[in-house]
Amino acid sequence: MGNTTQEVESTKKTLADLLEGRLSLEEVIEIVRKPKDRNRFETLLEIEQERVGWDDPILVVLQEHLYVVRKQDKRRIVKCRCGQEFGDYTRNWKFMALVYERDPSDGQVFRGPKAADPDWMILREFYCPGCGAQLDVEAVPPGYPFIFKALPDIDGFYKKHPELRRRLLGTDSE
Amino acid sequence: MGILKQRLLEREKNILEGKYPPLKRLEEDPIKFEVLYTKIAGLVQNSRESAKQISASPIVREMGECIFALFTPEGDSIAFSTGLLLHIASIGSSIKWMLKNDYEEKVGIEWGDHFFNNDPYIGGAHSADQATVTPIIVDGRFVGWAAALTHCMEIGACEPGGIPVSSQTRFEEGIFWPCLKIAEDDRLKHDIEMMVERGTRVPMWWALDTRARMAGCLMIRDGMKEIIEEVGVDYYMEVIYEFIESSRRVCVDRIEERCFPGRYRMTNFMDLPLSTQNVRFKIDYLNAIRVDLEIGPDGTLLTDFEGTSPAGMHSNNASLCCLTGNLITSVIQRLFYDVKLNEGIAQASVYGDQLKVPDSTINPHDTTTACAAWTMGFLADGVFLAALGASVYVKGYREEVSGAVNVPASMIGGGTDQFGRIFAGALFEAAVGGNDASGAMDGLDTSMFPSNPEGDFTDAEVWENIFPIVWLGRRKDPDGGGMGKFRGGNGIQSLYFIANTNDCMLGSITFGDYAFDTPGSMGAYPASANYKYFFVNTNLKEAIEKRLPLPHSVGGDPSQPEWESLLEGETVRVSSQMGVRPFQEHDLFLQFNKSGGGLGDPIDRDPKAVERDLLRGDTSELTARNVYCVAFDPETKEVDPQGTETLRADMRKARLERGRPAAEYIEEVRGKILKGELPRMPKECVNQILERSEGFREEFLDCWGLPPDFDQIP
Repeated sequence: MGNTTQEVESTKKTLADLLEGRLSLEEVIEIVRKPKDRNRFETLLEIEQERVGWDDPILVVLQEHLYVVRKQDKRRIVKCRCGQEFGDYTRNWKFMALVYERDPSDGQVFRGPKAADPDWMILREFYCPGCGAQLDVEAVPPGYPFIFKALPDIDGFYKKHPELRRRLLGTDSE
Repeated sequence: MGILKQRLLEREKNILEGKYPPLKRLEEDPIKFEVLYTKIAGLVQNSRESAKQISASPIVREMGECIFALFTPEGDSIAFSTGLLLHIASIGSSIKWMLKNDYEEKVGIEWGDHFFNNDPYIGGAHSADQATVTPIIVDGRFVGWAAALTHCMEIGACEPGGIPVSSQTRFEEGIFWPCLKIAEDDRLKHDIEMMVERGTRVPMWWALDTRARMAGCLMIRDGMKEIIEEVGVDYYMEVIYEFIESSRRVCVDRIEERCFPGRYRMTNFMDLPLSTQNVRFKIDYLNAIRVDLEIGPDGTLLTDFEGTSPAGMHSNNASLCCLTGNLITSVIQRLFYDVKLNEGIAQASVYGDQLKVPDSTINPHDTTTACAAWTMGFLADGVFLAALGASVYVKGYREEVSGAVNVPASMIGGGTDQFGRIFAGALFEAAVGGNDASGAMDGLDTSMFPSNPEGDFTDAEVWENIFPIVWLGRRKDPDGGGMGKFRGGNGIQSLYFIANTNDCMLGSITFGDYAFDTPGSMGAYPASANYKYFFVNTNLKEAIEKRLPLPHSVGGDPSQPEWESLLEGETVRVSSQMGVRPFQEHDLFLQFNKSGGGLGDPIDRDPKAVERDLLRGDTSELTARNVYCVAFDPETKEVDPQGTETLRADMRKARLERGRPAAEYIEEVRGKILKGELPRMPKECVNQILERSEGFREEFLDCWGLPPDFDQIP
């Protein structure tokens, strides 16, 4: 049995509120308790596509602010909500970001004994060069390599969702 | 070879080859199937609730550090109670160990026997985790095992309290009994009791915990006998494997439903400044845990810990069964919370080749390695959850996203208590860590203990009867949780003083003073670092007598503890992980239970949420202004939307100014690496992993643009 248009609208609005942290604790817990909406991924893509100011189809919402999108020439790249592009999604987007190495004891974020010791650990902040969004904070010993956190298996996923694949990847065989 | 051993080996082979049993009985009569499982689950839960009341230990009675279960003859779990889920894997591994070591033939396994295990390399996490298993035989057929595990407060180790945090080899960690037969005909052996009497500081804890476990096992055994007689042994012996298989199938479907396939990587670190400790081998450690989680499109899970630091001469290493138990506990809480609790969960997530763990601090091949505190297991659990959470985020189920969990703290102690009795125990206020933020809400404050989801905080008054301490205060730790769009939950701080004794040794188990150990994700900060203070040679006695104002916490600024303005004395800052040391009456002791990491850019946080946190005292004004960039009225805390917009725009501008292109930053760090211009601990940490992990080496060389023949940081 399919959902009515009204139900779909309401699900979409609730999901948009959920993403932005506009729901109360009780409302979030209610969602946790309910059976999961099987169309969640699709609805999520719709919401995100509507709110970004560009047309490249979103294939995956990688993390806060960042998406994997499909360019017209079929390249799949990481792109920020602001439009800044970070290159091929199979390469860590951090190599295209701005980096700031913070001494955790600088007093700006952690006070006194709540800060780690800079001889043991630093905070590596990654910013979007387009909009200044803070995209990741690595708490690592100095010299530790950038951590490449998420590499989604886009083809593996879309192979199992042929209808979405046709719509977003444009072809059955890509 | 014993019959059970043969059956075990055959079953293991079948599972590894993917030959799972069909769900014949389920399809035949699903109602009968579910009714039987409900009866079994109820029996197991009931045994836990009853047995808890026999133990005298607050860890078991109040906090609920115990678990009861039913197993197949081969040692696969069929049903578990709630409680200390960490041991969902470890009890089974001790049964399997007995069978593989020919207990059937060489020791004998009879009705009325009770076997005791606390060897963490066989099953469990440390010697304080004590399991009892007893066979169930119906109509002459061996149909399974009843089992129980409790955490014991004293085990005759080099330090009191069951968790000798200063141990540097396993042999300092007290009694180790690998699957010892402690009872026959349901009677505890007298010589075993005498051994405990002579070998531990307070034998009562072992004696009553052991009776609690035995009582629970007998409830399960005798209850199961009745249930099996009702349904028939033949039916029972088929359906138990289907219970497991039905769980496995649900779990695989759940992974496919909730997780976006791909490779997810997380890393975390543990600091251990042993050179400042009263231990024999004064070695400092900075350990890394690194995980690659591969999720297949069909719901397969592959977890690889390559790139993790080696084991060391400290008590924070974790055995493989401890690690496995931690991972299973995590997936139960985050993905499989409504699944029948049994071996099927392990088969779907961490069985056989699905879990790759090198010889390391979370799988020491040398089983003489110390593991009393086993905190690296928590850290591994944390990175695993954060990796899993990243995949759930991509799939869009933001309310189910998990970040890294924190490492709970506890305190150990011994000496003479306030009543003049010998005391030894572990103080677990641990069930009040702050939870990690999800993708849709803040982490819950003072809410969680990773390995025991049903763990309770326990009343201070209960502990005050066991330890010679009095609480001056317990409060949430403001700014503890990592700042982010969704902030990490705040843990607690407790301030105690030593009462009516001058013979009191206390120590503490946690870490994270020098290195953050609970990272944030997607732009959020980690939870705050840990710290520990004592305040000694105080005039507290006089202040109490004169009814002067007393301190109840560290106060608003942790750099200037509140007690310094109220009392006379000397503040001492020590490492959070600390072996026992002597305290005097009226000394103060500040203890933390840690907070969770955040998620998302802090300046994306709803300003109204910041206002609420200011009013509740969960966020300081400094953090609200500097990190969340929220403008507010200093009196009412009401947010000024326009002022906030300006502050946030300024922050974005400041970031763009101070941030450097990655290529430029890499160039600078490469120079430092080649010249060896890095501090000692980071250098040691990275070099140790470079030596051991080809995967990490490739990542390291690629990131910093180093030549293929690069060996070590000089």
